Amino acid sequence: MSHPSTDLESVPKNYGSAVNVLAAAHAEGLSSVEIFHIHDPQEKVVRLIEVSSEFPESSVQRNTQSNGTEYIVPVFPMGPAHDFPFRSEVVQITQDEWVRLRNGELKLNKDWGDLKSAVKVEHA
Amino acid sequence: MPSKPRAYAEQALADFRAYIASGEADENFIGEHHRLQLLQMALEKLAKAFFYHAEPDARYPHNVALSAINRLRSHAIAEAMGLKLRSLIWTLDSAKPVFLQIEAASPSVGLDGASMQILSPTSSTRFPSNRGRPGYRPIRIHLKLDYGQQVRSGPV
Repeated sequence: MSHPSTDLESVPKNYGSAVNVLAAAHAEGLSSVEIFHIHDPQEKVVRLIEVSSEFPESSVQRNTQSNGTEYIVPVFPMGPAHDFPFRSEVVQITQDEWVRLRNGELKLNKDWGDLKSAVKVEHA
Repeated sequence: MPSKPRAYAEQALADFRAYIASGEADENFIGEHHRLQLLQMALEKLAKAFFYHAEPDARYPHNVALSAINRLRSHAIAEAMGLKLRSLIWTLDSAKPVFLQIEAASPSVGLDGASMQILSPTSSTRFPSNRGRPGYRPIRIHLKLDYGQQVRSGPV
């Protein structure tokens, strides 16, 4: 389990603190949110799954190459900043979508590997 | 910026400029309902410009303001706006009720119920025929699209 860093203004110096800073920033002001982290083996991209009843449903229809449709959850990528020198990829979903993602009924539009490896991030 | 998100951002700016121009005219050449529709379209297209960056082949709904606001808490976006992240979070949280009211003002778009709950009991943004009444203040929102200072993003 990850541990929180409470200072949003500090520049994270390593991957672990970057995970905690971003999770704390995204949890601020929300009455209830669970945040999970998918580890990047290269420790360059902070990948967070944020689950809250305060979020609207995130899954959307997408056209497939076989002229069909499928439901996916878009991953929102962001580049680094001077005070956050890591890339990030974030999904914000409902509890039901989180269950369906882990069951394989829903999928992300990016391959994050096995979502069952997600680790809960404790945030202040 | 890829062409689809850019197209949506450009149209958002066009809608917003039309909204501003309609408010500066000496005579009301379009009604207040129409003006609010322009504002709602600007908001929706701006949000979709951000969403299509993440998934260009998706079909997004009309009511996307809340989803977009929730996803903008980013150091990269704060940096592009010349803010620290905490200031950006405060700005977004402060703007959220206004954005939701704009969305709710369009009956075919707004989340009836969820969006309307944040309105004050005396407000009438869904059918806003309040121009000229005591206490009426036109909405003034500054929208800035600066392609010279783009948010750096990861590969899509």
